[in-house]
Amino acid sequence: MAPSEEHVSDEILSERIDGLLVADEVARVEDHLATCRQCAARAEGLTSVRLALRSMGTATLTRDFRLEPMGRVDLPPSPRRAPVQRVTASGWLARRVIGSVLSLFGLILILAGVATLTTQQLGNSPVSSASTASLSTSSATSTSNSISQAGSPTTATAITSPSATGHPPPTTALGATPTPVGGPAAVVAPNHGNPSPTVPAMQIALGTLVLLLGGLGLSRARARARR
Amino acid sequence: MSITPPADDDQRLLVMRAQAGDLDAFNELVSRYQRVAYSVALRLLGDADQAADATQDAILAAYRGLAGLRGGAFRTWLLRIVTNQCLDVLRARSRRPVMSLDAMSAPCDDDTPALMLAASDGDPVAAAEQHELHALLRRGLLVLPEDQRVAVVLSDIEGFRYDEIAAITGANLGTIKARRARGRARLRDWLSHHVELLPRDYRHTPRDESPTGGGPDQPHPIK
Repeated sequence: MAPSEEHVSDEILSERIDGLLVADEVARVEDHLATCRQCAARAEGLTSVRLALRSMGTATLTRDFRLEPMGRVDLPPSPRRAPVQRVTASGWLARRVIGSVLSLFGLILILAGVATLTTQQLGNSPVSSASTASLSTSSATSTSNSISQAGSPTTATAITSPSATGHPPPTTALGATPTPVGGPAAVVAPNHGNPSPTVPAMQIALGTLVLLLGGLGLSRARARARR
Repeated sequence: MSITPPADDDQRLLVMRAQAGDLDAFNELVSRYQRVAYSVALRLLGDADQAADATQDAILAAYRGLAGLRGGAFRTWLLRIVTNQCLDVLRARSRRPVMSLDAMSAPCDDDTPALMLAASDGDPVAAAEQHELHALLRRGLLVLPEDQRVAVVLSDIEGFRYDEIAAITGANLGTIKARRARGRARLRDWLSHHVELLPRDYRHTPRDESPTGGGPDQPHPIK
């Protein structure tokens, strides 16, 4: 028997699988499929695909997505599978933060020490407070080398140190204030007016120690995070 | 199939409590639907890590946008956010074709252990074949255009109804039917080109066809 009609579209065949065809259509389609091997094969292929997809089922959770005020919670340990990953990470995060702060602090100490030493060696006249240095860098280009060299590290110290030590940054613009900077900056960058050779050396030594400590903390935090 | 929505009133109450800022109520809703949300993301993206990230992002977005939810239809609302999140990821991926090729060549195997476990209480050979078939399907799904993939995943894998898919995708019923039909047909053709990889029972090339016409008497590939 010759195929009764034109071929059946994939859309009609798809609706046939889902039982969405009305009675008239069902009869027409089944008549055609009974005689057209090509369409019958396509129909069967669609049925196989649908059944295979259905057999995939809903995937298994690998993580708990419930929210916590501070972050996420872990899946309770399942008897069948170990939790794939742990999301709570306050431990290594804290270590990373402390490590970074320590490293930065140490670096600043070293820079300050080196700056003081350079100043002592180059400048015969003492470059005094941070205010002079920052003023000179901001205003004059004709200032001597020694002053501008000493000026830039000191200014950098004065600006970065409050954030590194965790204090809120001062409200006044540091570079523009003519008065000496007080507060946390004074701890990091002591007065350069009366330099003694032991102070910068100790600064460098202490800075190196703190830097090493910070680096150690950071590397341990990284190693944990990689696991 | 998998998830039947619990009593409407219960859910509406949870939604109201969550909207009033009750995180426990929100988490109760999440724990009901996070599995289907993650599953949809996994099928759409084909990558377990990206799927988990997209699910987490969607749930956070849902929490922040709770005020925009009218009524109690949390599940379709959440899945709409998940689907959109995944489409964003796919779009970002298509802007970096290298990433996309990577994802295509190495489709996720992450849910295979569970599937193996689920199937292996029967015939181990059948379990292995099904595992093979599912791996092939996961690759095939990634070949589909996005709108067809969404329609096929939601309806044929997760078993959503037409009206639910309409609520999730924003498309009308006719469009959904057409996308699903095209997606299934495309997947069928793709699978037939990879027929040597298919378990025996799933091979249906025309030359294997018996000439007796497809009626209900024809043996079915899967029970």
